[in-house]
Amino acid sequence: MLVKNKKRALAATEKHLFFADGGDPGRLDGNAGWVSLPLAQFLSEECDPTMMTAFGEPRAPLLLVIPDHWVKHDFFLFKSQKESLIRPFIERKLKTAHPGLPSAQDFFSYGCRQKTLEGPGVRVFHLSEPTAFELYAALSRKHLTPRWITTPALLWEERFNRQVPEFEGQAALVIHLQRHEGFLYFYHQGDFLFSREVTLPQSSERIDALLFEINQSIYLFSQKAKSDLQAVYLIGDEAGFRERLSDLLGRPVQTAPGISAGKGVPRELSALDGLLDPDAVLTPAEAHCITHRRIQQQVKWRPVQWAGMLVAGTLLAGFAFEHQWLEERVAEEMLVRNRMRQQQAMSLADYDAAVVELTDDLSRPSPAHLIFNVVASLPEGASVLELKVDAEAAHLDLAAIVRAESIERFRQQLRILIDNLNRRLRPENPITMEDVVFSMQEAKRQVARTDYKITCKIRLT
Amino acid sequence: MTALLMNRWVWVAGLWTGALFLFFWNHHAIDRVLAIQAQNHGLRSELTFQQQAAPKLERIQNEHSKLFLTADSIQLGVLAVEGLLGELASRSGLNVGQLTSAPVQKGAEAVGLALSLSGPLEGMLPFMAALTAHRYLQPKQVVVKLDPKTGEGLCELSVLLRCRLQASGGKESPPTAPKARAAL
Repeated sequence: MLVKNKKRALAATEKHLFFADGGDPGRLDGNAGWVSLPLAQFLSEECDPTMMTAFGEPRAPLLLVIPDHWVKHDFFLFKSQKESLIRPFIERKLKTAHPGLPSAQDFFSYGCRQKTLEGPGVRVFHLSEPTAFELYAALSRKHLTPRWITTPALLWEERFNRQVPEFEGQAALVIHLQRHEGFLYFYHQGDFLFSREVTLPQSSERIDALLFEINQSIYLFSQKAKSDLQAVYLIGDEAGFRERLSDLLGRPVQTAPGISAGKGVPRELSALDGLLDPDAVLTPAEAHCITHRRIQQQVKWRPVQWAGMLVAGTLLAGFAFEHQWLEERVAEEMLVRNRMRQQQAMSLADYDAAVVELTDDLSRPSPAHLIFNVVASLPEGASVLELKVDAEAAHLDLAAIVRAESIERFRQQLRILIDNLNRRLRPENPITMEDVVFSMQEAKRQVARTDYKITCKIRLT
Repeated sequence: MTALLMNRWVWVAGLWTGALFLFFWNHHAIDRVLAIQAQNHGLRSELTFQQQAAPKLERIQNEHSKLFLTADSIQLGVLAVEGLLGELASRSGLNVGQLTSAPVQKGAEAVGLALSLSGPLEGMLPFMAALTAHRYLQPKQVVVKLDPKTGEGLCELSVLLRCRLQASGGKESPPTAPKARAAL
């Protein structure tokens, strides 16, 4: 049943470690639902690992119940109720009080109290037994890290605080009566003070043995609590036992409503009888258990983690949906683009490039046109010797012979040639007389006329 | 590995990393969609414009196609051009002295041609005018030499030409483009 509830319980005694295996409660050996292992063997790592794997759901939180005396209870005067101040204060106190147990600072629980005599302070309980630390470490190594560590006294404290409203303000004794033992738990104003275990003989001296221990413990209680006992509660009443105890103690002994002894736990775990029943609460409140500081941090951050995962998961799902939609849009738009490109034989950029090429082609000087214009520009008596047109460089070189009867006539013909060339070719810089070079050395003197060789370089637009 | 998966922070970090990754991926995808939409808008406008200005664009295309000689291959095109030049020269009464073409480069769309002609001056201008009609033949340099000793009527003509060619690879060329085979 414990396993079905996805909560697992472990109980440690001085000699054994018990695993609640959720087995048959009607087992004849009296170990119904529990599997035990020698504690020394478990701590020395000699136990069978398959046994651990069979121990329920691995992720279920684990409750570890240890003997009462493995936990020490203290009260420190402290005025503030701020956690940020209380925690370092307690850590300092534990460090000073238990220099040999550095891990004690990781295993404590506290509650703020307003005591009538002492004043405001904190009630602290922490692991004090080295075996408890060793056990925790061994369990952690086997991935069985306990979520809660508690004791029978703390479990009864929680149960009485919940079931008996007046328990919180009382100086009370809880007697847990078993067949072979009796357990005495003393509480003051709802807080556990100390406990006693009494071995009870199976005879008429049974009640005397219990009574003797109760009286001894009441004396210790009055010294510790500086208060008289106000209530006595009995769990596991035998026939007429409560009445006899009331008579012998001289004060009423009550049975707590809704609290009864259980059945079916091993004898060694008789202190837990009635506490770890299938219907019992296996998640003690933080005020009644110890949680390792690291796990406390994990628990503290758990809502943040879940919120983070939830928000991120929601965003992730939303973004995934959006991404799917966007991909569909991309595919759709690409389809439209391809369809339009198929319709388009030539893009405007291609047309633009074609226009540029055509413009370039048209702007190139036409050699035929140039030659015609040069020939047409020649005055009477002039003839071309060489004409060189460089269309790429837009450059024209002209060599010609001008025949003239006189220098004046040559000048006139030259003027006509320059005017004609300027008019017809429209060069970048109009040609002047200075641009025309003629050579007298090469000129041929003939009868009544002279040949002048002229050269001219023309830069075209 | 199991311990890692048990750590909720790993899951938180993983989920947030995934969410952030998808966020930026989606951002990129949105940019992509917007870019394609803008392209489509431009294409749509282009198509509309092309439909409206179809006659003018067709004329540009036709004129542009005249700047290239379409041939089955560049070498065939060169051959056709050489034949054409010889034909034009003989039609103008010019004698072809030399006609050489630059080696055809693979993938090139222009080939250089060097042409030397001689003959009467009267034939030179019609030859040059006829050359102008073939716009894929672009004269780079033209040199006309007249030797007064040989008489004014005779000239020597040297032309460096750039011939622009398009290899159709055996495909049918547009009807407006000149065909090399026709020239052959």
